[in-house]
Amino acid sequence: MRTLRLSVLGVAVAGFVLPSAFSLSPTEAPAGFDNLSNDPATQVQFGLDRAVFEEREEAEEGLGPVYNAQSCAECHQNPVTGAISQITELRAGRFDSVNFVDHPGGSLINDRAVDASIQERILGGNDVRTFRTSLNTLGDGFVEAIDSNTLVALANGQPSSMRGQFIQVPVLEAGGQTRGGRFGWKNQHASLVSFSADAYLNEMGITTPLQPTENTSNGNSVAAFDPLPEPEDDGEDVEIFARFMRATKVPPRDETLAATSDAQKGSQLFDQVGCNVCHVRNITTSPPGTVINRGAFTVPPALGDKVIHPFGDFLLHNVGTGDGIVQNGGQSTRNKLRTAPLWGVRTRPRLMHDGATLNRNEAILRHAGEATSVINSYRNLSTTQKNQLITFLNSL
Amino acid sequence: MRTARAAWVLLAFAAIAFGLAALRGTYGAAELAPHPPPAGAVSPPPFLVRLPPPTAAEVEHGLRRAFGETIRRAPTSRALVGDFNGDGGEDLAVPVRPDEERLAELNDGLANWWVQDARRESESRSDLVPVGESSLATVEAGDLLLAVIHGYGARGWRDERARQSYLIRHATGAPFEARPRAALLRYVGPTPAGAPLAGDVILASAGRRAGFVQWTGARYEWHPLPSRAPAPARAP
Repeated sequence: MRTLRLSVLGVAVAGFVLPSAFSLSPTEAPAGFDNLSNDPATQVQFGLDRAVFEEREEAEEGLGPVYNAQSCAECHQNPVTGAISQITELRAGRFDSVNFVDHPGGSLINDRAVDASIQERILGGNDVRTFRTSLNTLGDGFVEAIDSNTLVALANGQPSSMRGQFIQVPVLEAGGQTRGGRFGWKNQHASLVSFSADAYLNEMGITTPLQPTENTSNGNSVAAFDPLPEPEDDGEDVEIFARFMRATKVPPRDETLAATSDAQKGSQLFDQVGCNVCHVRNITTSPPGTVINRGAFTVPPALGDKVIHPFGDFLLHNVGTGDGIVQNGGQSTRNKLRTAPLWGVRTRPRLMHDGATLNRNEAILRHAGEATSVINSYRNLSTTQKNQLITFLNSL
Repeated sequence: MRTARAAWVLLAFAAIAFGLAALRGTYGAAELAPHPPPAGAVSPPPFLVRLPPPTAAEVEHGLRRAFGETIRRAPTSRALVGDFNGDGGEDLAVPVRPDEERLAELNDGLANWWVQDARRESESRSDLVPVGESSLATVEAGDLLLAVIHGYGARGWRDERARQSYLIRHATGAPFEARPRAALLRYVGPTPAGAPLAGDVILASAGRRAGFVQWTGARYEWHPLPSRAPAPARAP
């Protein structure tokens, strides 16, 4: 009888625990430039959300008065919706010898306006200026699902002379409570809802409950050109954009090139010279069910316990290319930028944060500051080895 | 007896699995508040310190470190120092001539330096195929080039790790003097030629036009000076 009871108990406990135990081993995140959802069960919804992401807005729908683009996909499209583009945004301000000071109206200078009289331009005295390339959003759902402590651990594992800066930024949908920033060139956002609301306002000029205040033109009100009351969107679009990005696959490798001997040797050299200290190869997302964004989002099974290969650490570094602009991270971040995740970099002909560098070798040599020792190791490679390393980069 | 043993094995296995699951956290657990490294552990920016003027031997050593034997210092040329890229470290700028036997090495797209033309809009082209990466600006026999070495840390361009370097065409005209950014701003006003002034500049004419060479964040560019006043004051 005792044996029977033990058997029943064993089977019951095993049946309850084993599934979660076996789900412990993380699996690869799905990859593809294929306009397919990372969760086949949500493909229909994904298609509908993609259409909203691609939808062109007009002034009657809230576009502007000052803006940069008419749809999300204008800047996030190559080679599929959600990826990158050659489009840059313009930021400016001034440095008063101690602090960065925003340009009147904010550091973002919108390139378009619904009326020529309110076109923004850089005003005199604002000689800190930079372009910022559009960022890839494919796979950002997995990035959002990275535990903030994982990012802190990456920073702690880096040599002190190269240690990335982890900043905490407000999660708008959680009442401004903070979480580890990971989105944007300055890590200015931690959640895809906050990121979407920010972009809807700053890139398209559409206000939402999370970003209810219209931008100005060089600090001057544009109310006379803004026919709709605020907020111009009830927040539904922002939720859709976030849901779309959360359902995207990560950028895939060029498997044919990656399989070549040159790319494989280049991959070893990438680690050997130390590029992988900041361009981190592997990160595992939080387990399914983890509550993130300060309670605003629960990691679904499609995003949880997944291994991604972003070739980035989602931390801020000073590699001598800093743009002098401060956003959410305080003055210490003035000359720091988020490590560019290199997944999908083969789709980018314009490199670095400003798109001003046009080939791989020059992009590597442009790194200085915290990356100096790594780049000096690259300088010591032979021409053959440099070519192998660049072949590897071209496979990402 | 065998059934009992099987049950114990199953129980033991379940206990191990339970332990593993507990290590991973339970469904619905919230992300824990992170404890980032203290601010002091964040790598500090370099700071500008006043260094003695460069000696000829130091300049020679710096050039060899950055460019090997591919160039030689131009006779009677002056070496300028300043924070040309605005990062707080002292940089070196000195006119050089190419070794005409090493032009291929100088113009190799995978060289450890950039070849740039200060008067060209965009000097490099993109090549997806790595073999053949190259710059549009090329060094030619007899060129007078401005060699720039960016500094690293407190010792600036003298530091053995300072190897970020450029060979710039059309950047060595008279008067060839370094000027602090602030002095140029006082002279040309707040928006000089659309140039985002990151650091110190080099006054250098092009043809008969007075101008200055400045760092844009990615390259060195020449800009004309407004022709209304004498050149800006020297650095104190």
